[in-house]
Amino acid sequence: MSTKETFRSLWKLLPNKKLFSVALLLLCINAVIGIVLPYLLKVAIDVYIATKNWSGLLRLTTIYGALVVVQWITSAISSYIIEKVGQEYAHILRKNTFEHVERIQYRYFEEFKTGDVISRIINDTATIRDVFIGQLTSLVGSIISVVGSLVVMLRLSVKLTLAYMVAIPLMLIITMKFMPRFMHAFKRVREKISDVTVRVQEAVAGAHEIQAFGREEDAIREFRRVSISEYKARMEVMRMFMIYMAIMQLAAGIGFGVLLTYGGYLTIAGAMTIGTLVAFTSYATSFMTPLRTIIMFYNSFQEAIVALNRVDEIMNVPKEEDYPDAIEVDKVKGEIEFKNVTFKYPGGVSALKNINLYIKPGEKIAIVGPSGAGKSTLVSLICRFYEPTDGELLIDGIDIRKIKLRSLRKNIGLVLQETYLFTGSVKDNIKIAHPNASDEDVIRICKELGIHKYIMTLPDGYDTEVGEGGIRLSAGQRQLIAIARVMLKNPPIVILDEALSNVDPEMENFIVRTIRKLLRNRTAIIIAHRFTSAMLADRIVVLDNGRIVEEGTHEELMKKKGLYYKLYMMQAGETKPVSV
Amino acid sequence: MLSMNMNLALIVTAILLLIVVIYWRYGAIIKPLYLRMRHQYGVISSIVNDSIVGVKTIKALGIEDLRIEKYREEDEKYLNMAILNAKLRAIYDPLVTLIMGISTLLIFLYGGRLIMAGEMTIGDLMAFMTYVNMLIWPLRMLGFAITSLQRAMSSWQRVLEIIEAMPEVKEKPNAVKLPPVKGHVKFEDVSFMIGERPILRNINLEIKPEEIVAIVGPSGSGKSTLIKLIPRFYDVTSGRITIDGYDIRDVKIKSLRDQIGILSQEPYIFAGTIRDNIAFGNPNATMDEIIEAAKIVRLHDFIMSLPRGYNTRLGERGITLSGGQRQRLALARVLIKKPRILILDDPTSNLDAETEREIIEDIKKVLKGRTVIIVSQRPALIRLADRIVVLDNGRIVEEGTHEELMKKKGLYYILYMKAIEEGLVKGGLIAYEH
Repeated sequence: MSTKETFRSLWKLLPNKKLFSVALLLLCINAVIGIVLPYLLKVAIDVYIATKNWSGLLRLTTIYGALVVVQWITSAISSYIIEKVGQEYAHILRKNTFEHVERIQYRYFEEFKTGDVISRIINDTATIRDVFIGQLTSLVGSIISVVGSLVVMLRLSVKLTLAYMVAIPLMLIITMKFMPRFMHAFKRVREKISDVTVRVQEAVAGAHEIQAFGREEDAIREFRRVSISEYKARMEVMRMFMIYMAIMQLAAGIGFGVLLTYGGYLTIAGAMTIGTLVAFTSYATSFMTPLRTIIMFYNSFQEAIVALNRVDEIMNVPKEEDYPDAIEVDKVKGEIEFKNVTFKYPGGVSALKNINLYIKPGEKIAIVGPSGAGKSTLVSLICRFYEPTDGELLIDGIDIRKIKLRSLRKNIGLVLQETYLFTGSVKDNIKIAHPNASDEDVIRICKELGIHKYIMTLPDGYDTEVGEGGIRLSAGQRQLIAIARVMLKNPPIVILDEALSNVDPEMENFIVRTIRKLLRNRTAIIIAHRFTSAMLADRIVVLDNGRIVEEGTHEELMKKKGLYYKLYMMQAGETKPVSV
Repeated sequence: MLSMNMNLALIVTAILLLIVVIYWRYGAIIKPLYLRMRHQYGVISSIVNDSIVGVKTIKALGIEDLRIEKYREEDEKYLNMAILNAKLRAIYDPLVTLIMGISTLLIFLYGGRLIMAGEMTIGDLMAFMTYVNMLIWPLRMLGFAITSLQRAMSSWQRVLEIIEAMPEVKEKPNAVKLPPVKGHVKFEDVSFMIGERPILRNINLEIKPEEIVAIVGPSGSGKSTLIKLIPRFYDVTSGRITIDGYDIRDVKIKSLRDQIGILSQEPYIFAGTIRDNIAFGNPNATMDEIIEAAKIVRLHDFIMSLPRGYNTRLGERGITLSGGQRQRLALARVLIKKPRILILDDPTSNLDAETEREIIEDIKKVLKGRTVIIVSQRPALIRLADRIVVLDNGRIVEEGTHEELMKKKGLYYILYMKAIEEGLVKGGLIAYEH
């Protein structure tokens, strides 16, 4: 996006534009008063103090006082408005970015780094606000200060102004030279901070094992290394800053020295009054300081552009969209058909080849096969996380691309190998897709599934907090909630993607019984690594290297002595039945 | 300044103090707000985190709109706090400028009077003004410093909490190195309390070298704590633990832990190569030793099937291993370490039955020549033991072989029958279908 377009789109999002403009106006008034004040001092000295005019001085100081109060009021109001509007603006940016991210196509999520996305939504938007609202507005004040001061200084004494400006070019050059180095140094600091955080995270997570293997010294040493690295990076920034400040001080000092010397000379020679000189020194400051601010703004501006680009980048990642002619469907019957479906992942990896599969409504099929055979890919296609590269996927005879995504997914219930829960109670999680469901509904379906009693044995029953990601519950308990979630959703199609793989054997039977109840009167696709899940199916499909190689019931396939037989025997192979 | 004019200087000092007080108050008010803002910041980060980690769930459930709504709610809370912050800032910051302005005014009035009375020159006044101006910047800095100090103090509090939290297991200054042990572990009247709460009471347990002992008991009986005492993750409250006669508190911690291997429920895999992860058990291990270990635990073929073999990266940016593979890696680690004492802390409870069976087969290969202590409720693991110790409420209540304990019909019997009932033990009837 061009800079102009960028600014225009930023301006569009700004809330409360009128109020904001008022704040800008007040800011200008503030700056203008700032220019008038030193002049009043000049008058105070030259006109009243010099002539010992007490009442005059009193009058002047009253005006001065009044102006200072006005400055105070305008400053308070304008800074409040600007900050408030700025925060609202940041809020809108964050919200919009999050909203977009939430709708991005599934395939891009595989490449996302969590911390990076969080950073874009929260930190980069903050930088945008900070620079484009906060700093840009004070830039207005600074510009007025600089220009105004310059104008007055010239009016007071052109000669002195020119003399003072001697140091300016030097300061500008120095600043320009330092800026890129600063940026680079800041970047390094940020990288090092990230390194430290990663180390700490790892060490805390693995503390037990680090202790068990006696590797504390190593861990401490590693941490010390990255910590010192960060320290050095920060010191580098400090060092540069000090050199920069020292040079700037020197240049300012030289300028001031010239000012006093030459100004003093002019005053002694009678070409200038003392008051003027005093005012001049004031103006010199109110010229120099904002000038530095303006120059350093360049730096912040660069940073903000980077942040803007990062947010832009993520806003441009394609969203999930329905095809233009997509229709809504109600409850489907649950007939699924793969017609010559081939699928290659975006990276080129081939996952499915010429899949032809027909599933009757209410039928339960199990899909088995060695790791990487393409089982989970089938699931991703049915849920339309990806689309077939070739061939058609039909539900109730309709190409799923012709069905609105929302509609499609309403008809499918998914239980994954590892269930992710959200912070909240067991009840909250079961209700998550149906916040309006009543507690009675939840209890009812849990009773139907036969898990009500079990949930009541949890510390707080349905109100038990599950923790972030569901971490406070065991894997098996999370699966039960996932199943209840699907039950409440009541979809005609249910997909179990290795739902039992992570569950401890004590829970396994219980969960299998629960799943059986869930699958009543529904079409089911059971992806199984372990053959106990396959027992729930009417028919078994064997996948190998992306193709269907065998199909049939357990007995039929065992008789064939093909791949299924081999896999099955391998699993059952080394076992001796555990006798009591 | 003081030397130039007492009164004027006093005025300036009074103003300075006023400003300091104002900043201090501001700092005190702003601190709780900052804390709340930081917390809320964490909340919204966590919502974004959920959205990425749980994306499949969110899309499958079709709850994108609900999530967006939730984010909006929490973000608005943050916004409100930020606006409150803005209000406070708008009151305090300009206030200081106002005070500076008024003080300039006062100085001018008073100074002007003095000049008119001939007690001071304009130059003096100008100097005064300059000094006052020179104070503005440091004052502003003081303001920043005070608020930063407030923030730093609350941060320090948090750091202190961590530093003080852990009960320190300290090594005695005259600790000796524990020589290579045979693995004779003795608990002599050991009790362990956390604060007022007793976890273990009067534990007397002797484990002979190369003996395999299983420790069982209901949840909360103290089994996990008991085994944590052996490598001295905690110190006993009373009694003592000896290995080969050495009180473990008398020996160097490293020499103690070097001889103890632990297999836990969830092995720690860190960002590094497979080779690094296996060598974690012994940084001096050679590649041959690593490969040998990997072969024994049947991980070698899998590793070799990966494009980068032992140099494959694991962890967040690398590949993820399955539960079974992680335990195999942990086993390899233990093999590399060659400890005389091995502690198995329920390493198979997160695995499916088939994988568990395989892992136990591999574990068997590692048991020879070691003193082994097993904590588990899984009968398959308990069977590996020569002797079973039953813990209940921190005390040893039963001891013996499986057959002896079943005959007793005590706590062990009850636990075992319950396990069968829950399908824990697929007895001869519900076998693995073949």
